[in-house]
Amino acid sequence: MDNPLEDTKEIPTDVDQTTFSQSQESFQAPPEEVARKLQLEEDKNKPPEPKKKNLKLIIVGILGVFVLFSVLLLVLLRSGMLGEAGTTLSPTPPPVTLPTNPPKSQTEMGQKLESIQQQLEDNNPAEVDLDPPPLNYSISL
Amino acid sequence: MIRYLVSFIIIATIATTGLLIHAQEELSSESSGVTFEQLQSDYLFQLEQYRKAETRFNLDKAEFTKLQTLASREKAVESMRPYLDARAHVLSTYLRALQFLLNQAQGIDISDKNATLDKHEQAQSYIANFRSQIPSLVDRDSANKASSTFEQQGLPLIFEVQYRTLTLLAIGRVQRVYDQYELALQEFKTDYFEPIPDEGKKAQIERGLKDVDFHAQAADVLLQQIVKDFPPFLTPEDLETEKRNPNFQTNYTTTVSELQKVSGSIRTSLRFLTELERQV
Repeated sequence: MDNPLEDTKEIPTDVDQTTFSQSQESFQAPPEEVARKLQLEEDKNKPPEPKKKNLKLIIVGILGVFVLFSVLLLVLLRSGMLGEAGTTLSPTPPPVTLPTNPPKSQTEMGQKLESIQQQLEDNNPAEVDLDPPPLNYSISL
Repeated sequence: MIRYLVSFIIIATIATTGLLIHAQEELSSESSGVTFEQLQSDYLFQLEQYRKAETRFNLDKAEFTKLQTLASREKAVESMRPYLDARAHVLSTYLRALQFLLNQAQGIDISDKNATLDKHEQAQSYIANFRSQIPSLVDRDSANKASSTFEQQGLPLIFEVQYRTLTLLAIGRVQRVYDQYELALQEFKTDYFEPIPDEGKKAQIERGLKDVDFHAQAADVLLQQIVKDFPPFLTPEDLETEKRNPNFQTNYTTTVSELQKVSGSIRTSLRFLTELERQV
């Protein structure tokens, strides 16, 4: 008796088998020359990377401008130009210049006169060293 | 050259004399070993004791006035004695403090100073004598009589010494400043004004100096007048009459007011001289 399993169709083994990628031409790796061209084209499309030297120059430039503006601001504040223009930078009122005492004399005579002036202020005749005692000057029983 | 030498000798002599007087005064205060602060502290302590005695006497007197009993009268006399003693003691310590200040003060005429210091001793003797009598004041009449005598004879002497000392201290303060200013003014004329080579500038400074001198002389004249008008001490005869009670306080206030005018004149003169000194 024949085996029923043996009745199945035989699978051909001598068929020339290839992979899917092998059968598809487009999925195959491009040749070396083409790959190089592609790489070059890609490089051209990318934005150029800034050079380190340029970056340093930019930072120095920014710092320079900042310092320049600071100095200018300082000069403007000092000269009062902003104040004249009506710009107020701070809530504090502008300093009031009051008439000050004349500068102290440097000469010996000037210092002597200043010393006498001080003594005159210190020795007010109306000042009493010790006030009279407040007593009852009429005691009786 | 000779002018410089003479001015130097004058200044040196004045400075040496001043130093000697100052050293002598310091020596006298050091030898007694008492400071003004101690005397002031004693005075304030006695004033506090006086306040306590006053409170007690016022309470006992009010009780006696209300009850009119022998016991309340005895009690009132008992509290009157320490009250009288406390008042006299306060005056004594106050005068001691003033005496110390007068001793230390400069710019006061030495005869006025010594005469006032003598009066201080008289006043202290009077107070000590009065205090020694207080324990014997055992009844109301003797206590009232002693108090009345003290107020009529002792107080004029004490007030006179007190206000005369205060007046002298006030005069001394102004006189001392004036003396220093006078020296500085003379020095300016000798050492700064005279050597000016430019005739035009010298004439200008000279015109300014006339104003300086005018105010300085006004101060000097007024100061001398104040000293001249200083009232003489009361005599023992004055103490027996109505002359014993001039208004010492009013006289003192008037003198101080005049002294303030002197200070004003010195101030004006000094201001002009300072201005001239800056121009030289």
